[in-house]
Amino acid sequence: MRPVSRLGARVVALAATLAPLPGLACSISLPASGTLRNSMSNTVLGSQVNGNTPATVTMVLPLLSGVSVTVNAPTVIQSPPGYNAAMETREVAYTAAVIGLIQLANQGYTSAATNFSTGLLGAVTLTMTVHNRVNNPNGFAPGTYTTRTLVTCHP
Amino acid sequence: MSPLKAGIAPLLLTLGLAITAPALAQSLSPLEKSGLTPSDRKAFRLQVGNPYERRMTFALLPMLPDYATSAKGVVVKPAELTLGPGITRNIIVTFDIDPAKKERTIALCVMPKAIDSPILPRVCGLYTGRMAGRGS
Repeated sequence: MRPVSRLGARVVALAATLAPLPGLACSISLPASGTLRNSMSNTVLGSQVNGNTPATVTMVLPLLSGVSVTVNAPTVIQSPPGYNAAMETREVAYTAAVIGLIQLANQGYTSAATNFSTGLLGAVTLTMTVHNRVNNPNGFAPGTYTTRTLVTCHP
Repeated sequence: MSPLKAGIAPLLLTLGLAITAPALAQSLSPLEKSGLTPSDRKAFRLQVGNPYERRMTFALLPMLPDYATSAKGVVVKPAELTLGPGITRNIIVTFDIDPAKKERTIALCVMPKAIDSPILPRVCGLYTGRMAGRGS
């Protein structure tokens, strides 16, 4: 992530912390979308390939009883004609921290849905850093690729 | 909002992406609620909000408690709504309860409609209706 977007995320996080929200709610936002790049071997697309450009997700959690967050493995929702997805695997990795300080989760790359509990938090802002990685030994045909990762805040 | 995208270059695929992407956001309150009903239908009034800085349209999707399977016998009014920044609106979710059972729990998920983003943020709540005087 570039310095500009890191700053943007913190501004949004601060605004979210100050925003009045009803009790027993969850508010989730997406300050930055991240960037994928290709490996020199043309077998991996990822936001940690040749750089570090994750997406960020911000949540406001007024719940005293805590909520859970589930992160699904990404799907490829756009790929160019001629791309062979037969050997493709898709993975997600993430970290989650309270106002960027107290780490709640540190999930390495996985193809499974994972979740974590926010515990007994009250009126805090949770920031997640999310990486996507698509592996394919058949390589990636020239064109545009789009991944999507579902992040769910729930009881 | 630009998605996590890749485009080919001579030696490198470059995935285009929004460095200055505006925030997408939604809120749902309460996240859990339960109540009795004298009939085989139960309704809850919930609040959906857009606490951030741009106008957005949200889809309200009734699901089973696994948050993955669509739920039948559920009516959400409205099924989608467009909210300006900082605006919160009430919505009503009504669902049928099998008379042979004492209760039913459904999930309601709020997500941006037609989102063009690599992260699809979703907030889901759980709502339980119990039939009064039905063999408890």
